[in-house]
Parts: sequence; structure tokens; C-alpha cells
Amino acid sequence: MASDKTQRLAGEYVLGTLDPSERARAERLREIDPDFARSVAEWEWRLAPLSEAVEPVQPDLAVWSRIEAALDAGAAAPQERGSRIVAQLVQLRQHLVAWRLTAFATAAAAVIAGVLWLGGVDSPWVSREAAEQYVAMLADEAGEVGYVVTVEPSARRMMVRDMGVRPPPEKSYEMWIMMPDKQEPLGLVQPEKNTMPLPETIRTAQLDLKTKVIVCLEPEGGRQPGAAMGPVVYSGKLMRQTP
Amino acid sequence: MADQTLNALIDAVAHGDRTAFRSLYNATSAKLFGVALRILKSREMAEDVLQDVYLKVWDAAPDYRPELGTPFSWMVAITRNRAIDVLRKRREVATDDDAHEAENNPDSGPDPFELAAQSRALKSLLGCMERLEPEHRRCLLMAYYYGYTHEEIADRVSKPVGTVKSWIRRGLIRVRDCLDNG
Repeated sequence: MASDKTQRLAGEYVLGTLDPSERARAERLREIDPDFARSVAEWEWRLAPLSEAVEPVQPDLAVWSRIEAALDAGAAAPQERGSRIVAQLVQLRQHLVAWRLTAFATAAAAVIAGVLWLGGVDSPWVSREAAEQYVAMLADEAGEVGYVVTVEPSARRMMVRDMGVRPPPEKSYEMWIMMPDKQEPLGLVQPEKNTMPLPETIRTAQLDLKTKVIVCLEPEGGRQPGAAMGPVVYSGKLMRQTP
Repeated sequence: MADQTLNALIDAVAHGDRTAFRSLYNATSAKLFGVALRILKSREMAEDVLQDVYLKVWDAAPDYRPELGTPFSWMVAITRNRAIDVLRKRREVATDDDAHEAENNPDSGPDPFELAAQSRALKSLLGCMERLEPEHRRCLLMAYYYGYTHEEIADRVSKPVGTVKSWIRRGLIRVRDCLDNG
């Protein structure tokens, strides 16, 4: 626990009112003192909600091009990436388990989707021009979430995050999108791949609460042409994200 | 966008996923640009800051720790920090325009109390800020939204710098105690 004096310095640093020499000292402290860094993060978390009241303003399109160019030029070469994924997935999983315990197992998927939905409404990112996005939490019969799928029609792709689940040996998982009037295979779920292209028919279709994303159990390498769809292992409704 | 989705995006960015980075940019850039623009009052400078912010997000995504803050608080903090650094550098070469602008902008910025849709986090924060003296609260808000120094705030509220300093210090401590103790 940081001392009162340290916490005060952290608070004023985050607020931005320190004079240049104090600010430089705070920057240095933040690098070397984990207690101070934690106090800073706490202050950032406490004060950030004030930014909800700031009107979003669309930046010039050229900004993104400049960012991409800088990345291409290697100006921001990725450092070691990948050390944290396990911890994060475990954490997300814990959240999901906690939510799940609050509801009957069979209703869990709906509850989780509901929490996410409220999360959207409660979101501080008020950005009216944000791209349209949908999300589905795919749960098994027991309500255990196996996949989180984000669909962004304008970007012509979907993101698939697995919660550490894998098909049984010599089996594959295949993902489908199910709409009241049609169903489309989206392809095999690949453990190492987290984006999948979106079929043209889905991009232009009316996605709503009646749309589901499901994962079926198939022979290794996928369903034989003409064969019936395998048993459904995970499924979830697509919810629109309120920007 | 829900924090879970943003967490997943930041996680993908941490693994070098450029498509996720684009989604993150699309979902968050207008808000962060608004934050930077408030402080810098120049589109050009705010766009430079925005570029730095996202390069920093790309670099720092592997270090993002959800237990220490939400994606919103993390990214807003990076933006404000960078914008304030740039603002302070600019102040070193302050022009008459800046002084003129100060006279014409006596307000304390957006009024979060007037915001129709407030998150739960904002409601608790405002609940605590409401307990401060109105003048102290106004100083805190001016500092937060515009990145003003103690001197600049003192000018705007016509009080001695020492008074403003102690208001802000006490205000921060009271807000912290109120939020931490409910």
C-alpha cells in the first residue's frame, strides 16, 4: 500500500497539475516503483469516467494510414507478445464462471449475453460512428462458454476467441451461422487462427436476435460433402453491440 | 463496446493481430480524439497525439492488465498523458493566441453532471464529487478536461495559486476516500 504522500503525488500526476520537475519525477517513479505505478493506475481508473462526458470527434482518415505506415516501417516493432494470453483467458474464464454461478445453468448463456449487452449500454465509449458489431457467447449444454465470436459485417470478418476448448481427438469443430431463413457454414474452427472471413450473404443479411452461431462436432478435417450437420456442441445468440 | 470485447481485442493486439488493432481503433479513436482535442484545441496536434497513442497501445498491449483498470481507463490515461506532455511543451513557447484563448474560455469544460447516459463508474464518481465545494469541484474538472496547470486555474477562478493547489489536493483525497469507502 502506497503512503498518503505517494498517493497524492500519483493523483496529481494523473490529473496533470504537477509542475514539470514534479511530473518528470513522477514519470521516473512510475518506471521503477511498482507501488507508485499501482497508485497511478488506481487514479487513472478513478478519474477516467469523467471522459465519458467528452464528445467523440472523428479524426481524419489519414491518422490511421499514418499509424499503419509507422507499424509497417517497424517504428513500433512488437515486443515479445504472447506471454499473457493464458493469464487473461483464465481471468475471463473466471468472470464467466462467476456469472454462471449466479444463474441456473440452462439460462447461463442468456445471462452472460445479458451482462455483455448491459455492458454495451453502460459503455463509456460513446462513438456513434463506430462500425456495427455483433457478439455471441457460445456455450455448451451446461452453460460453459467455449467461444466468444465477434462479427463485424463492414470489415467482412469475424473474430473467434476460444476459451481453451479443443475438439476431442480425431474430431473437428465446424462453425455455422443460423438465421431463420438460411444457414451458412463458416468453416472449421482452427485453434491458432482467430479471424474468419464472413460469407458475402451474411455481410448483407439482417443480423438480429434470431441469428445464432453454433459449433458442431464433425469428423477430423470437417463434414463430408453432402453429409448432415454433426451434433451441436456450442451455440449462442448474436447480440448487437451498442456502440 | 463492452469491456469484455475490448479486452479480447487488446489481447489479440498483444499478439500482433493487426485486424484486431484496426477494430480497436475503429471502436475507440473518436472518443480518444475528443479527449485530446479538448486539451490541445488543435486538430493537427490532437491527431499527432492520437497517432502516438495508438503506437503506444500497440507496444504496451502485452503489458495491459485488466485487474488494474478497464480498457477505457487505460486508453484514456495514455491519451491524456500524451496530450498533457505536448501541451506543456507548447506552453514553453506560448503565444499571444494562447492568452487570448484563455480569456475567452472561462468555462470548466463538459459538464459530466448533465450527461444523460452515465455509466455506473461515473455515477459513483460524481456522487463523490458532489460532496466537494462547488469551487473545488470546478477546479478539478478544469484540470481534468483541459490539462490546465495550477497557475492557469488560479487565473481563471481569480484565486491565489496556493489556494487552488490546496483545493485540488484536498479534493482528490476526499474523492479517493469517498470512492474507496463507498
